[in-house]
Amino acid sequence: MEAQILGMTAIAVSLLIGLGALGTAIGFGILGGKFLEGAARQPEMIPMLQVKMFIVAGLLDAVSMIGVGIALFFTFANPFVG
Amino acid sequence: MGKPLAAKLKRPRILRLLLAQFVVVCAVTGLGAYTGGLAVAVSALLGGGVALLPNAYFAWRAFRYQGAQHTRNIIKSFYRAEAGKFGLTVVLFTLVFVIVPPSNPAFFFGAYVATLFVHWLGPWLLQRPSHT
Repeated sequence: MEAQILGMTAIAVSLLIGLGALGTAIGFGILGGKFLEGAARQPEMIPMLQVKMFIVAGLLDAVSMIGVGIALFFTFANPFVG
Repeated sequence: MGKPLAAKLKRPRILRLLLAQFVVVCAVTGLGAYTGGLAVAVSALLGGGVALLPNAYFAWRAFRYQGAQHTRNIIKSFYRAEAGKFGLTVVLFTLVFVIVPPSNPAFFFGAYVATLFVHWLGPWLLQRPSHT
């Protein structure tokens, strides 16, 4: 039973970290592309766009970072195993 | 050539955001000390630290370049900053769980999430002062 729980936990941890990283990567790709587009159209707006990109980046990776934290918690201190 | 121009540009108020995150860490740690004692306070402090350190690295790295002539460097720096933040978060979580396992996971993750969500205040904290 315990081996099964550990196996399922390993799959869950991989999904949490992998999908979190994938989502963040897609989001950052779109963000970077839009930044370059905006910078090419209006170079004088680059400082403002940079700050906006920083804010959105923080919001973008917050959920995946929480996922990483929970995944590592399951890895090192699995609450489902007694 | 690029550095003096970048120095002339007004830097955004990133320090205010980091300071706000530090205040939140202190507040949650104080709440933990008040409700559960030292062990809970340490858990909250570790959770806040795990969120604050990668974020400080991200802020430092993301604003290394400024100005229109550094557009590609800005993007590269942002991508490296995000990769570093992700890696640093994984390393810090691993270190905490292996070396100092938090006695109160609820406060640990509560402090972590509260510190991360200070970013919601970013538009307000990072706005440039108006000269009107």
